Amino acid sequence: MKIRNRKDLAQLKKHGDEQLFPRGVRITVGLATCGIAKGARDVYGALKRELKSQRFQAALEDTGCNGLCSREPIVTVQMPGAPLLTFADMTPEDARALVRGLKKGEIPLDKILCRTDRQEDIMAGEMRSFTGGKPAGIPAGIAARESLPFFKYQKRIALRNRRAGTQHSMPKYPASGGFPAAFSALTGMKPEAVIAELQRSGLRGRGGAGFPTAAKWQAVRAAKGARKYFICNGDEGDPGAYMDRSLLESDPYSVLEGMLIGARATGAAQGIVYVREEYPLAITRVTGAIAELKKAGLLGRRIFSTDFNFTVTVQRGAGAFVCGEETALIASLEGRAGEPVEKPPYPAQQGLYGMPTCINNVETLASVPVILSRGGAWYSRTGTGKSRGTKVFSLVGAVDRVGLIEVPMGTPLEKIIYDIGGGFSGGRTLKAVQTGGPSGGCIPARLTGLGADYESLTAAGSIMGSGGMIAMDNTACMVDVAKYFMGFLRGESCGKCLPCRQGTQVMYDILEAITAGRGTQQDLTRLRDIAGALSQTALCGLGKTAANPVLSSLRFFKKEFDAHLAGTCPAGVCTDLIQLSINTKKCTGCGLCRKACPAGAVKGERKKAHAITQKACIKCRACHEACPAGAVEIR
Amino acid sequence: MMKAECIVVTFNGKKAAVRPGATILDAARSVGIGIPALCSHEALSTYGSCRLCIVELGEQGARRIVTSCSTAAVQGMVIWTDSSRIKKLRQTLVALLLAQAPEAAPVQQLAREMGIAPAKKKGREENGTCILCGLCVRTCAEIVGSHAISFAGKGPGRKVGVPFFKDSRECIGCGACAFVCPTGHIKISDMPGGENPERFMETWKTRLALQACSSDGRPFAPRAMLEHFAARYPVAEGFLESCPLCRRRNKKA
Repeated sequence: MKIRNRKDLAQLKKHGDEQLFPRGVRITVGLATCGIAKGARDVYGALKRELKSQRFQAALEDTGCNGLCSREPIVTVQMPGAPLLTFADMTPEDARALVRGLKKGEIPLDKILCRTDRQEDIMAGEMRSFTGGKPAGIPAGIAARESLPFFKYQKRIALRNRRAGTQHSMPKYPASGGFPAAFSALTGMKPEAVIAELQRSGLRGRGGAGFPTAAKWQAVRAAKGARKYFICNGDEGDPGAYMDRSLLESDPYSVLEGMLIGARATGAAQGIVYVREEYPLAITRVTGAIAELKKAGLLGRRIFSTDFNFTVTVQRGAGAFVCGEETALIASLEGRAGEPVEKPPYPAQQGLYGMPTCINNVETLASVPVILSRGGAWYSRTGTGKSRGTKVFSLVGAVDRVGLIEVPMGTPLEKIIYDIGGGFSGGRTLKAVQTGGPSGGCIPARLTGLGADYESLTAAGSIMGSGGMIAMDNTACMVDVAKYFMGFLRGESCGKCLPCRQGTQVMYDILEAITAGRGTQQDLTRLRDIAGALSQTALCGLGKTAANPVLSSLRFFKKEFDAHLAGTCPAGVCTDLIQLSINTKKCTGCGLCRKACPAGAVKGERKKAHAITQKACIKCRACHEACPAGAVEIR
Repeated sequence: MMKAECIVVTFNGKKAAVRPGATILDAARSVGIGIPALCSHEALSTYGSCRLCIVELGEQGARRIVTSCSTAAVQGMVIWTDSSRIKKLRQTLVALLLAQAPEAAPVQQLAREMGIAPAKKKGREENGTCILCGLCVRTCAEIVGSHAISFAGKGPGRKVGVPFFKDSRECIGCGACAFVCPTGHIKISDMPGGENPERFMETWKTRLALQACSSDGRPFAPRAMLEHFAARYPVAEGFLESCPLCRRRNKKA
């Protein structure tokens, strides 16, 4: 069916509504990469087989990631007139029990996460009810979704289609409010009006640098060229960051609608989604979505019966971190090695094949349709200072509830870590929050009252970056973390300019010497000197920010560097500086450490205190982890 | 040059008239101000990789750093080529370059001028003299048109070479890479004797057959090079067969 006008759109939406709110039972399984990694395919298979063998009628669908990655596999069950039920940590056995229970009319509750009675349709700005206002026919005592701290403090705009049970498919996207924004941008609004709406929203690039999106679009619109390109930058590469992957996997239509609007505003006729090869599922889903949009006439020639043409292709990147940099990305698209070139000229003037080119981040584009639907003023009401709207973070590391979250700009880091992330279990405490990936820095626990927005994070010596947020507990060594990031950058530097190529290498060597106990005070001076040269003279953004992890660690965790210079690693991480020994008073002689030691370094008789032969010890900590009495001490 | 055709910029506090459209680097050199630069060449495209040619722009307190090879001089620009900030940064950069290519003569000289102690450690294997300036790569691509060499690897593992580092099919043995190389890293040897006289591009591990002169029988140039240029440019009669010396002699006769 070709979508040409408002009537066609309404019909498509109706079709999607019938799928989202069917007359029978609907079961979904989260099959994004996080779910698959935790065995969701097996759960899906078990559900499929059990439904067949029990002859139970239900629509079984795969959906994206709902954000709570730590509790995957996640399954939802939707029955007409009843609240939607979400189950977490599902196994194939749980899945089979679920189907058997449903057939008998009982719902097994041991894996239940929450119930959802109604949820906000952010595009329309209204609540949609699952129960139709009728009393719910499900057992009492199940927590409501909005009462769970993980969901309670979030505001989901870019992640709007991660609400319970929505899905990445053509009719279901308009059922969740998709396409009217693109329709108005192409038929009713002038391109200038679209840009003005973005200007009002205060939206800034979510890829890291935070450049105002409206200004970028305006620059491309004003630039002259035989043709213009519109590129979606999905070359996400920060360790610990997966916002773009998740968006492209779970909701590719929102990104493509954002591109369509952007193409109309800038006057681009050709679109490219640049995704790294390491994201196979994202590539599959976005390629599939493009094909569906073509079929529906929403990509291609004469979209919505206007004279506007726009095509989109997917380009797979070979997975170089530096290709996230605009000019390197363009070089890669042109078939050259992914190396940055000097700016100006900016891509907005001379980009791909020398033509004006607009490059936007995945999350930026996913936010655009909402801004057009609800208005820039509505969007800018959320946020703080010059950081408006919401930001998606991948909250990872030592917190209990890792996952993909979206919060208003300016939300204090501690709220994210403790309320949404659930803090730390097992007596561990927060040591630092790493934001901005290899271009960012580590913010110490005492500063977590800071808001997560561009200005606050920059003032604290880190950056917002693309949205990776790594919570580190007291078992992390900050010198080791700095070394890790420097090692990453050394490997990802393209090697073109001297300060980045050699600076990352020499800084890594110094950090390695420090973690091995061979560091001197003079090394810290050298680190600062090279860091200064990098930030002031490197050719591109990768090099200019490459010293940030080291500089921020030196700023907030200088004591830890000094401790290493004095020969100790306070966190007990750096193997050259630690010694494992058995506290004979605590040792029960159970022998578990002896069995766990791969080097045969633990000696001792049963029921008598054991001891570690230091010469043979490889410091793998297997004994430390095996000991039930806490007798193996690290110093 | 007439005054009207010039633009006026300020170098280190002194006004100077320079050619419009020139880079800051060229403008500085035209008025006798030296700026170290290892990857820039007037005949080649801008590359901006060595970063040694950095200068400060603007007034005190609000100065920003740019590379002078890639920034055009414009009317009224205030440029500082050897402020203490620039000197310190250049010193750090040269020290880094010295650690990478300790045997490269131009780097050693810059280090001496800046009072940097010679590098203790030896440079990386096979790369002790290569400073990765890319002059050879750009010469081969932009001047010769062969595209025989390029950068390979990334980060500190970057090096220059032909595909698979041996037996290039594109190298014509012209030697322009060796000619432009500022450190003498690229080595070529001719072996004119024997049954099959050849040129050995040592650095590229590539051998090329030498053409023997039809008049005096002596090998004078790689066959591939002669064919490369004959296919692109109008060449004199006998260009492919005779050495330039014999051609001149035959013409006179």
